Amino acid sequence: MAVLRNEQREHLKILREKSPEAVVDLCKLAIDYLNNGPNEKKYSAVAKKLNTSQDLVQPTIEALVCLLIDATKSSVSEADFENLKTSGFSLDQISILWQFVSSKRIFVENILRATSPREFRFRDLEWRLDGKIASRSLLYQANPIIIIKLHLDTEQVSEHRSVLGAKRDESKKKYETAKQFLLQTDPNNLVHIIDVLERALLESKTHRMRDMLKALHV
Amino acid sequence: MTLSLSNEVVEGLKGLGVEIGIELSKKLIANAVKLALYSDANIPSNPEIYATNPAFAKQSEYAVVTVLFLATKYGYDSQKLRNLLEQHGLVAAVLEEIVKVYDTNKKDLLINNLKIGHSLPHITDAEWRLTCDVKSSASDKGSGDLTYRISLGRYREKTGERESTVEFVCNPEELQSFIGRLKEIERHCEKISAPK
Amino acid sequence: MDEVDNIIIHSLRQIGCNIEPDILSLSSFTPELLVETVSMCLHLIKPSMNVPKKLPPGMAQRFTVTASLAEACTSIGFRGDIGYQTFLYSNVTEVRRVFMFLIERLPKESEKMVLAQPLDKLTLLENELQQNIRIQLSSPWIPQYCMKSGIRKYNSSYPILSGECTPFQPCINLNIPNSLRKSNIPDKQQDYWHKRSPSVFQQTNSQTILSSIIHKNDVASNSSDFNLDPEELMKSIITKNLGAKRPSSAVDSSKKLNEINHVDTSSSSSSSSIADKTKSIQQQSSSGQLDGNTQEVLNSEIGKLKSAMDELLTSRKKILADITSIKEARTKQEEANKELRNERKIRERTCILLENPEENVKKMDMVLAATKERMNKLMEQWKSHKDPLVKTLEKSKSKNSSSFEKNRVIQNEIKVVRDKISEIVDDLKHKNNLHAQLTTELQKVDNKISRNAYTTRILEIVGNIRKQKNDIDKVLRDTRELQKEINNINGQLDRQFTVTDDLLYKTARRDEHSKKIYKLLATLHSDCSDLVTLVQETGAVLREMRDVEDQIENEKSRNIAKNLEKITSDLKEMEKDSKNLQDKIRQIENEITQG
Repeated sequence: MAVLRNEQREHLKILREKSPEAVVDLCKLAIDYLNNGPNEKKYSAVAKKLNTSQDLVQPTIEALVCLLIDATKSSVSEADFENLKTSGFSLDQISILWQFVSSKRIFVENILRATSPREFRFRDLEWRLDGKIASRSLLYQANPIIIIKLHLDTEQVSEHRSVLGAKRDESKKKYETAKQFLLQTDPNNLVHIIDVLERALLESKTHRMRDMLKALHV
Repeated sequence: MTLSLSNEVVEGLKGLGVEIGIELSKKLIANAVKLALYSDANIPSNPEIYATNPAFAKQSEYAVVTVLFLATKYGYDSQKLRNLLEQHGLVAAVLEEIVKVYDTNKKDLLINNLKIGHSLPHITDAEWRLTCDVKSSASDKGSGDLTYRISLGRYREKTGERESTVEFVCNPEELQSFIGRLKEIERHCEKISAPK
Repeated sequence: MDEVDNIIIHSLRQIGCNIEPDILSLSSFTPELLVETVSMCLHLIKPSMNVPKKLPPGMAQRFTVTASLAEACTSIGFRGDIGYQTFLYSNVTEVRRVFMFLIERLPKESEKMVLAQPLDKLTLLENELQQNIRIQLSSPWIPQYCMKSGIRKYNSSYPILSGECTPFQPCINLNIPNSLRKSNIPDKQQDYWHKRSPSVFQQTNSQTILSSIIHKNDVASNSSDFNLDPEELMKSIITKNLGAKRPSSAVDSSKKLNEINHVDTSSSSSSSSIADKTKSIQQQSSSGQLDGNTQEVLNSEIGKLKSAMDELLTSRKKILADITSIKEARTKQEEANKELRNERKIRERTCILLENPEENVKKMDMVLAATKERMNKLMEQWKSHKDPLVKTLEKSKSKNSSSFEKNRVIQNEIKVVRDKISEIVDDLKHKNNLHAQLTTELQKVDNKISRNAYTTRILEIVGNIRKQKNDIDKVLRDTRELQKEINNINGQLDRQFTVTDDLLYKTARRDEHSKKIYKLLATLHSDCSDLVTLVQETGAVLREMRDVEDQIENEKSRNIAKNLEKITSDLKEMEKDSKNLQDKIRQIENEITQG
């Protein structure tokens, strides 16, 4: 694990001196910070309880949050985490901090992922087979045309939610991330496109691809 | 719906073989068809057409092209075209020439008329790229998820360069479902087209 | 087996095999015909299967072709013994079995007959769509950039769209010379048309020519003077100006605006202000720097200008109407003027005459007489000229009328002939349809008749077989009874023999004669049993003989001798071929080594 940053170490110094109960209190405050943002009243209350100034509590909380994010980013293991001993933490304190970090890890991971750049994902597709039978320049014809409406969305849809529209009102904000796209094609090209995409899909299942994935991930 | 020709056109046709000679009229008809169908190709100019009566030559060029385009639009066969031209009392040799030209160029004329009209972006091609999440600003160790970047597109008519109409990403499962939906269309097409 | 062969040949002809009429049984099928018919059947059973259609001349190819045919037959489920020999060195029974199997597997007639329904427009359209989809699904893919304008000429008669359409964007102001109709066209315009105006093709490009021409014809056939309608013109100019994409159009429109301003001098005050405004707008638009705010302002101004323009137009219309009414009044006045002048002249003359009445009367009389004389002379002259002319006129008139009549008659005849042609064409079409329908019906009927005949035959045959079976049963019963009798008699004989044997044995001890009799009895017995066994053996031999005869018959039917001859000749040919090939190889090798 990357060692603590210098100013962080400075700010966490106060923890080293405190009892495990105090550390728990501070961790709880940090969680509260994550959920509701900074809360000065609570800081002063805790500061009183711990006999320190409020000015010291606030940076400590922020350093804790920072620790949480860093640990999540680099996905630290428990063994790595025990390296904090070198920074002068007791084993009790470390186990409390580990609990704090590991309990909130998934939450932070999700937030991190949400902030990364988002692209439009395929969500659904509607289609219709049309026959074009006349136009202003040619009154008699019979051309099959396939109309496709693509539903794209930057949000990854959870599988429990119904695919289309059902909860649209409830999540108006999310609706803005969606995009629809109308296009057309003909049977001949449709067959070709299916062919191309199927080969693409097969590619992800080849041994070569799996080997490469393994190599990248180790 | 019936085919009706404007006076301008009728006069342009009637004058062929009258205002200018028959041979020249034939040349004019052949030239007009070439220019109307393949105007992008380099067709040598034919100054003798405009030599005797330029104003009339311009009018009857327009008239010939109009009658060919309209006959195609209304799906006329050569007999119907012949009847129409007979109604307007064309010079016989000119009439024969126009009907002949219509017959020989029928397929190209049809194509020409077919390609005009309104349409949504017409997809003719798919491109894809397979990527793997290795590392990002949000996470030192990426998820290792496979992601397909799909681009559906077409080629520009004139330049031939590819134009992406829509782009999106999906994981293998989503791609599977996308292909599934497309196959649904294909199956439907097959079902519909199967002889009873 | 003739019946079976007939059925087979009949069904083969029905599926379109070309079998000579003098072929009456399967035994006269040549290998070539065999291959053709079998491959035809296979093709009908499984159209996707790619089977060779004809027997090639070379021996080696013959072998491969027939082998592949045999393989195809087994692949669709033929269980018998089949191979290249079935086709090349045929024997009737095997061939019959193959054909019976194939004909049974042929698709039923009812599956194919979907044609000849009355077709309305909608179903026709549906059929065409279906066909186009089918064609598109089954054709190989071609990239869009390999097709001309996104349209592909499939093998079908009709091109199918498989790409993007070009939008319908006509050039709405095509300038086409209109030289014949009107004589009142200004010289300048005529001059322009003769020397400068671009042809249709110069005014359009491949994208727009079709839509432009369709648009122009539609407009022209709806309203005859589209080109002169100022409102329409203004609209197009304004839209162009607003688009501000093509600087040339802006210049164009400013010119036209100026012209219009010149025309409308009557409301000069308002028009000058408008002109100022439009000028400023044009400057802005031509410099091409329209940001959002000014555009809004401009839009509102344009609105104002439009309304002002409308007013001006209405006032212009009024003025024009006034002008025409004034013109009419003027022409009336001029006419009145003329009349008055004439009257005045006459009056002046009479005044002059009245000044000196007697002399004038005399003069007038003289003049009158002179004119009368002249008149008479002229009349005579006229007559002399007129008479021959009148005569010739009458002659030519009569001639003309006769030729006219002739012409008319010919024209009428042409019309009648044309009508007849179209009638006959219609009739022909109708009759063709009828013919097609009737032929299909005929085929159906044919089918039924033959089937009926065959079923009755089959029933008869079944009846015969039943009778035969009864006969056989009878014979079997008889033989069984006979056997029983024989057994009975045998038993009796045995018993009698033992009894006599015992009796004689007892007496033989005592009597010399009896001894002799006993011996004779023993020899009689053994001889008789010998006889019986001999009879039995002859029976067995007879049976065997019959079997062998059957076998001989069987083998004869396979015409082995012929086939053997064929095989040996084929073998020789093959050997020759291979020898030739070897020679060639050697030659080539030699060449190579030499080379």
